[in-house]
Amino acid sequence: MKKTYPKTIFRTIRSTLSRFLAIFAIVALGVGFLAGLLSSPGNMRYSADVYYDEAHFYDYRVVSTLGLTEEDLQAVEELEQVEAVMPVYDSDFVLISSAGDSYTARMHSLPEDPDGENPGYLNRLTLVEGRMPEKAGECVVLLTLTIGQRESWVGQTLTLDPGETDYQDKVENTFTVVGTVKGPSYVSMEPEYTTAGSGRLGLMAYTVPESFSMDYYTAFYLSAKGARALNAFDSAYEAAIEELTELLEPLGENRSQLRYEEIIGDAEEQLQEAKEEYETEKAKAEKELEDARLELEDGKKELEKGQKELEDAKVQLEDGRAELEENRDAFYSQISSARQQINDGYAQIGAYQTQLNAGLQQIKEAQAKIDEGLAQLQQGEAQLEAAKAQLDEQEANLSGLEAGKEGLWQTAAQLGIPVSDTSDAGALALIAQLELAAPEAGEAFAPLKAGLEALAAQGTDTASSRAALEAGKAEYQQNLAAAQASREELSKNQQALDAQSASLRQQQATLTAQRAELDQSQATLQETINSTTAQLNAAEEELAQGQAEYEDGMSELEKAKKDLEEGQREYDKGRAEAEEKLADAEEQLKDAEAEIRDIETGKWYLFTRDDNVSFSTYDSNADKIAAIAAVFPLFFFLVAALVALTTMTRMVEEERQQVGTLKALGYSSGKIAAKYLIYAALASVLGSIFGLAVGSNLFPAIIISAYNIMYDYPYVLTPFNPVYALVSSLAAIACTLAATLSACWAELKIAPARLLLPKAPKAGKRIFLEYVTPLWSRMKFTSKVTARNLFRYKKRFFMTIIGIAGCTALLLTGFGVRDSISDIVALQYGELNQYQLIISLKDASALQGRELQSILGDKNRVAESLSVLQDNGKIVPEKGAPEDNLVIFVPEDTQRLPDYFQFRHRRNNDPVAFEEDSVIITEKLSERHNLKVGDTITVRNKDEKEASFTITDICENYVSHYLYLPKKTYQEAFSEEASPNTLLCKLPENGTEEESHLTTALLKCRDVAGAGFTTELSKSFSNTIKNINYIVIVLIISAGALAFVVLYNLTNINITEREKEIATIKVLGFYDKEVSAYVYRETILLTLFGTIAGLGLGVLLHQFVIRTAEIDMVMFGRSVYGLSYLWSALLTLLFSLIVNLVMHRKLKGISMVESMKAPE
Amino acid sequence: MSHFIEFEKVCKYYTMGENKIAAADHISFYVEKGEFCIIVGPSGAGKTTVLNMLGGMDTCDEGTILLDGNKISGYSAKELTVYRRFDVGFVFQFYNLVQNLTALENVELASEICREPLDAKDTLIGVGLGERLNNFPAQLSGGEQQRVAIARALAKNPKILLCDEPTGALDYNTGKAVLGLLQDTCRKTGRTVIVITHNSALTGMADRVIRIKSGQAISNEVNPHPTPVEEIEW
Repeated sequence: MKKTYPKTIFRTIRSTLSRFLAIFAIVALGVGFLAGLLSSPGNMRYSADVYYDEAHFYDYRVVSTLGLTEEDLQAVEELEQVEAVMPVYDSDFVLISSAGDSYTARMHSLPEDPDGENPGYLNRLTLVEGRMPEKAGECVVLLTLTIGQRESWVGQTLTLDPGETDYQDKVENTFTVVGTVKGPSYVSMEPEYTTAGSGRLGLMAYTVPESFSMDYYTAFYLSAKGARALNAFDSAYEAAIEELTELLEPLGENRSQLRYEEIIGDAEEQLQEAKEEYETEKAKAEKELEDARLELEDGKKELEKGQKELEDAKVQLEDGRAELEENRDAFYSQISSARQQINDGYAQIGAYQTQLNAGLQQIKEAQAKIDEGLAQLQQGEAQLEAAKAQLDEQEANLSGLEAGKEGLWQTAAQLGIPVSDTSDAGALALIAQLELAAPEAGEAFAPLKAGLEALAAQGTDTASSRAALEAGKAEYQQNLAAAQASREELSKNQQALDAQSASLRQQQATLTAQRAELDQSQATLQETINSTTAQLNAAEEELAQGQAEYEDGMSELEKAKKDLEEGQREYDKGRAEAEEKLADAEEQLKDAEAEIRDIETGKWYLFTRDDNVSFSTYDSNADKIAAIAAVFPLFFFLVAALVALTTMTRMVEEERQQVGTLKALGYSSGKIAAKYLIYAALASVLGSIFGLAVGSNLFPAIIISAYNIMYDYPYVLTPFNPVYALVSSLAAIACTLAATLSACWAELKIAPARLLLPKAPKAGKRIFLEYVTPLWSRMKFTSKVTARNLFRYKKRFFMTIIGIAGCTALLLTGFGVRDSISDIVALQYGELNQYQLIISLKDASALQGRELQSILGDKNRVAESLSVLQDNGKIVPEKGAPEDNLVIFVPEDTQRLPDYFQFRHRRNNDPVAFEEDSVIITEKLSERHNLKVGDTITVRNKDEKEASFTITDICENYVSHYLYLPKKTYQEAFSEEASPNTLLCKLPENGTEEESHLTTALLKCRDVAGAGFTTELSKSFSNTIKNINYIVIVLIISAGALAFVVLYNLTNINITEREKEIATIKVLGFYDKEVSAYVYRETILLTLFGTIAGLGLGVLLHQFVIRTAEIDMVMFGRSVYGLSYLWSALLTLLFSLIVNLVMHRKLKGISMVESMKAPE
Repeated sequence: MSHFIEFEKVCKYYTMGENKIAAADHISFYVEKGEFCIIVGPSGAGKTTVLNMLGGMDTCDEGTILLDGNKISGYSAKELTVYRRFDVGFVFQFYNLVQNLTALENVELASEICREPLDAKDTLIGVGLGERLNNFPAQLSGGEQQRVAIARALAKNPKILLCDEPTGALDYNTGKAVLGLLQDTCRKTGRTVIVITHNSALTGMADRVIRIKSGQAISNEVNPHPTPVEEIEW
């Protein structure tokens, strides 16, 4: 090739630098991403392997159930393939730091001389701080990503927990930390499980062998000859290791059998002794109890006797009381009749007395009459006397007057006064004359006058009075005689009365005598009463005394009864205690039996690196990357290749005229094509080199670094992987060159003359839309242009849509992968599994263990539980299908299982019934084996028995494969008891107990093999997911970068192609904005179409990636969140917007003048 | 100073490698309103540069350009766009039609953005393409395409119509017809038309002929009796 021609190539590159760079960039991206991601898993493993080699990481770890002896060591060392053996002691126990923190620790012994180049020093530690342990009681603490990081260790003292009685004699009880180290055995953040303490290791430490005083080694670490040179993750390594396995296994069987016989003999002897002791103790206790029981029986009998006696006494007492009552009644009736007689006598006497009294009364009345008569008589006599006196007086008076009258008369006669009238009146009249005549004489007659006047006043006169007086005197005489007669009669009466009275008095005397007699009888009666009453009272008193005695007896009896009851209680208590002690002893014996059962196999266990948690999880993580890397970058690469292809095709087409000129000048087709091929090759080779240089280092480095957040590997090594590099770069280069070649080919076929003419511009065409007149006529002019342009450049249309769709799909896949993986935890552990704790049992008898029972019974620790059998079986696959492991899941109680596991269909969340005739398998299993409802599944259980079942339903599940069977079905199918080996537990809703605390308690229970919280499982899963998130971020960023380049490229092509058209409208006076809008309307529409198509495509790609990336045992979530669709679409649109903004400047820069010059 | 178009000592330099070339070297001339003006000169004389500056597609480095009293030479890019939009109609040698639009739509593309456009259809009928309104450029002959281009320029109803070698890509007869159309347009509408050509034979049909050489106007003559295009031969 001469000088000028190459020049045109470089000139072309310079003038179309942006295109060249676009191809360069897109090839670089595609190749870098593909090669980078493809080599990531390998690089991850390589980086880890380098460290493992450097640390002399073990190839084999040999553990025996019975410990390993010096003889074992010798036997292993003699094996030819063994390069080195490191015998160690290690034990898990609880250590307490000087600060009081408690650590569930694993203490390892280091070999002698760890600092020198001892070939037997495996799993070499790297000292971080301080020094290595030199004597017993010194240790170094291993720093991992999660353990031991915060404390400052050197100088700390760690003391064996006093509860670790098993270890007090086997290890130093106090350790001083002299340094911190890092080591290859514990590299990940994954928890290391143990049966000590909290169930998870919180501390790993290394000490000198002298710190242990055990009579056997706990493990051998082996390195195999030639294994270190191999990558431990490769199959070559596995093959190399396999050779040693074949030697170790028979050796192990041999050696362990010997050791087993020795140990089992001892153990069984001990157990036998213990059993015998138990039996004797049991018999003894039972005898003692029997004695006590008999004694109690006696007491009971005596008590019954006393009771009977008392009852007799009671009867006697009651008899006595009845007799007494009877006597008393007879006595009372006698007395009352006597009293009656006496009272009758008194009544008779009373009656006589009354009669007598009446007689006396009569006498008294008669006497009174007599006395009255006498009194009347005396009164009459007195009256007689008075009448006589009166008569006498009257006579005297009258006689005086008559004598006065006579004196008057005489006087009168003296004085010579005539007396004519001798009457009283004449006397008065004479007196009156006298008075006149002789006052002195007159005065002597005054008394006469008064007397006469008084008489006159009485109407009488002297004469009459005289007559009356005389009559009175006569009467008087008469009365006097009568009085005399009366007196005589009275006296006669008095005599008769006196006689009567005497008779009465006689009668009274008799009566009084009778009364006295009665009184005497009464007195006698009273005396009798008194004496009898006294007798009765005495009897009563006697009875009362008897009663008191009886009551005393009674209370004594009560007391005896109480004593007896007390005795019974004591006996019961003693019996319960004795039984409990016996049960304890029996439990201990069972524990011991279980222990013996545990050692019964007497087996060597061979562990390879696959059993190292860090190693195996890292390996499976690398697998995950590999799975994602298999599909995603390929698609990525395809999009990149497509765009490179488009760009080159376009370029060849653009240079049509130059091709024509060269051809006209006589250049051969090959030479002309060479220019473009060289151009394309330069761009793609340079792009590939750059992509490889950056991508194959950057992507693995990012991914390894991301994983190193979880894994403490010191190296990030990205060795060049020529295969991936060649494959990806050659593919990219070939793709671009092929595209260029085909474009040149098409052009070179045309005659040079026609090439020189401008290519007939692609004719405008009516598009089908125009025939839809109602729509077309309503469209704006600019819309019409856009629509027509879109359909005019069909190639560009599809390229753009495919390019954009590809990017959107990649973005969506990136987001979708994250959604799917992060779904698992929430779905499996949040929605499907309704239990929070799984307890695995060594034996179904563990369920009867009292400690376990008490934990399960405590509602504050475990709300409820369900025992199940998890039988680790295998599917018997159809031809060509994988032989997957599966868990045959048999609940003890079919009805309750749905409370612990949500059976449902994934697509619609419809519940799936689990009943007595159900056979349910999990979705992933059905997918892998193409099993449908109604199909038959054949499985082999852990005992290698085969059985077939007809599937009744398929349920949603993400982690592991399960076959759910009711107990009956299982037992019938395998003719084997479905004895549970697992407990599913629900924790109380607001339980406060720490998980580690509960685990510690559970692990102490007999035959409990382990306790796992689903929170732990989900946590460890979350960690894995966190890593995948980093990868997803890498994917998203890469997809974003690709989207950007693709959009840039396509928009660039679009604008270049239409430069003239754009210049024209600019000349016509379109504003910049209008120009941009004129172009972008199409771009935006294409972007939208592409985005929508991309979302659809993304769903498919996501499904594909997910299914490819899934690990055998795990089903990822199959759906993409709505938000991810949104993000993918938005990101694509955002990139499109950025590209358009950048391109706006380019549009502004289009020179009208330049574009106008050339013909089209 | 009341000329419709006036160039005064306008300069335009291009840098070609290390050489600075003056495409327009203190060029001065003027054109009156309504004239059919032909600018003639050999290749590389600076005709197109002058036209581009006049049409607002390019800016001048020195001097003053006036159109209808407006100083174009001082316009910003934005002002130039506005100026192109409303005041200038362009006709190019290679038509520069939008291939994806029909004849009518190509005219509409221009008329849609103007203030007082002429009816697109009428304009096309006016240039004799009444029958080919809905044909795409690829379906039209060169002359027809140039007519569409002229119709597009006219429909904008511009102050000046600038034509850069409008017959350059056309055969003799078609070229004549196009020139005739331009002359007619000028006469009928009174619009100022400026045509650039390297063909001196055409000068006879112009009202004013400006000769340019090496970036300078060497003459500016008024032709009192322009010849109808049919009579011109070349």
